[in-house]
Amino acid sequence: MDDELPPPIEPAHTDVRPTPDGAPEAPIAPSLLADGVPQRLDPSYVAYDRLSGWVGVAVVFALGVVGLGAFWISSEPKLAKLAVLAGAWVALLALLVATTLFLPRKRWERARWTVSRAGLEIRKGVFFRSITNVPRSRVQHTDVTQGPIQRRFGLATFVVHTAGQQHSEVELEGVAFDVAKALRDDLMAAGAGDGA
Amino acid sequence: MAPERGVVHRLHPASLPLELVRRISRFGFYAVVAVVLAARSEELAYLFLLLLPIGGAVMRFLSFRYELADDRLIVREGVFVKQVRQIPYARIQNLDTTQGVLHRALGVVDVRVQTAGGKEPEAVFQVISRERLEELRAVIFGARAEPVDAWSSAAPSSIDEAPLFRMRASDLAVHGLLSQKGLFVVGGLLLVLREFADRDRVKELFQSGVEQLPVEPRALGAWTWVALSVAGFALLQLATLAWAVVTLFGFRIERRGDALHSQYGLFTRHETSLPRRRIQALHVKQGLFQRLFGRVSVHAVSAGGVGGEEKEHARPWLVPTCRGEELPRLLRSVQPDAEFDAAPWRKVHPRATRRLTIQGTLLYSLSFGTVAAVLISTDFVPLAPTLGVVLVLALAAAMVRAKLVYRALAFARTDKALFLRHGVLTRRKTCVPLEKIQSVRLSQTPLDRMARMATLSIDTAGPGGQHAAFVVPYLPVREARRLSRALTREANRRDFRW
Repeated sequence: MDDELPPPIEPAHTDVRPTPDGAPEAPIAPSLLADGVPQRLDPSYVAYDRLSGWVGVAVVFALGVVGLGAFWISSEPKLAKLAVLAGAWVALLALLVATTLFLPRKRWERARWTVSRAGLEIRKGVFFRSITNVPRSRVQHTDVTQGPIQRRFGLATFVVHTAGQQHSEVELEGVAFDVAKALRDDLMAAGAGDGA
Repeated sequence: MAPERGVVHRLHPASLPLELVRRISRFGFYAVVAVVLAARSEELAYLFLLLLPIGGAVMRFLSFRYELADDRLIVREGVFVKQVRQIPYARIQNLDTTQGVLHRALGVVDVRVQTAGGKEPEAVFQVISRERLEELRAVIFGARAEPVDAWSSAAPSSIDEAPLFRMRASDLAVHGLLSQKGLFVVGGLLLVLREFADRDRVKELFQSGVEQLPVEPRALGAWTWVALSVAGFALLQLATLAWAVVTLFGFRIERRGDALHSQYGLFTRHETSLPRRRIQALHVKQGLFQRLFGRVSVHAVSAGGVGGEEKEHARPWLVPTCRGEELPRLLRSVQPDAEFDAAPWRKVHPRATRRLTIQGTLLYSLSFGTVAAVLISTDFVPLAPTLGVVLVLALAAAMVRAKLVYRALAFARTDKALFLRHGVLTRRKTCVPLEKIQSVRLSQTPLDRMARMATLSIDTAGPGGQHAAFVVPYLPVREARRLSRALTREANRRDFRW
């Protein structure tokens, strides 16, 4: 199993992070972050991801109803064609429902983020896995964003921008808002200029 | 002449007529419409439409100001919407100049100032005199202060050393033949003909031309036709060569201080200055035909100023074509760490061949199978044996391809840079200095996971593109992990300089 990405390293002290039922603890000091210990996403990520999934399911459901309805009402529909379209719609819905039910938990289990003196490391992915490393001195600027669903769960997306081209934005989705702010403070604290 | 700081300059007065010519040629259609409308309706008022581009040129000339401050370039322009740009010298990536025939007659240049951000140049000077350009260059790159007339043949005395590279006539010929731009020349002519000539008139002309020929075309023998086609082909090649000569004539690269300075062009002359430390990655490319002639091309990727509307001004190469033997010397002065030959090359996972074979067999079976399906459906060949042949052929082809791909693919790491080589028909080599690494990513598809491999991608500030990106597939997972950790550490230790 250790030939896989990411290797199953258990976080040493997940208890520092907010607990699923308790209120978020005091903001984490930047010095605590850069410890090189892999951290999990916030536990409420699972519920958040699932809710976003259901929103997607609802959108696809609504679009399908409208689309198929319009097709039905418009010039005498060919039943065979309608059946094929409806079948595809149902299959897509089933797939979305299945991923919404099962993937959020898997995603949370696989995801880790680590801040060390060298920089930020993000592991993610269930089927297609990746580990992204951004050296600390290459951080150009950072964003902390919070969508409407994320706000409900007190979550945020932390975005690191580099001067790169293909992966100039590295996103860490599903950390507590306070953690995201602490990450920002930690990664920007060095204030490393680009020497230009 | 020491460049004066804090003095506000305008564009060169020649800017007006040149800008007018440029605008009219760009809005040529518009101008033609205005003139035709005026002529048809005998209403001279339509000619006032011509005043629009003239007005634009005048306003631009009057509103444009620039100033060389202590640490930045300040550019002001705009009449209705005013714009002030402050560009710190340290941020300027390169200075590209273009000089058309008219520009040369008037002793002025078009200058583009590029920074790392964005696709468009940060400032465009259309146009300034050569002395002003040298002043700009001196201030920006901190190079020599006295003006350098790069175009006079007595240039060498004002240059740090002998040219790093000078394109010979044979290089020019090979580059021309390999690019086959002759087709564009012919296509362009046909397009012009189609746009501006009446079709019936052309037909008439052609027919009367044929009638006036001393011989009847049908009476010509096969050999005459062969000779004619050969002549046509030769003409095409001549057009191709002419294109190469016109665009790249006199190509040479020099070093001035830390900047690489290249210039080329027969009629329209281009000059570019690229500070060496701004090179994000170096690519060496050798296509199949280039290999036949023992030639390679070198691309230096710098951040910014590529793509968008300014694509025509982006330099596609550092050296369009040079001899393989010249490469090591050239690379040593461009990027001393790019020692491709001395790099400790490592192969990827040995089982990559097997994966490539399976992949290839599926791919080839599909394409060969399509051909076979057509043959079978026309009852041209029997079913079962054909399928067998298809499978055997696909397997054989895939095995050969896998061997070749595996042999070509290798990577290396020194304490200064990262290297990659790949490609079977077109061979590519890339070097990324460690301090130019922006981020490191390992990725693993489900198939990778089964084979215990991973793909390593390195991101730099230079535009990647499909072939230029630094991506090493089929690495053993443990090695990939070690490598990505080490590279992140190494990159972090070094300050990134634009």
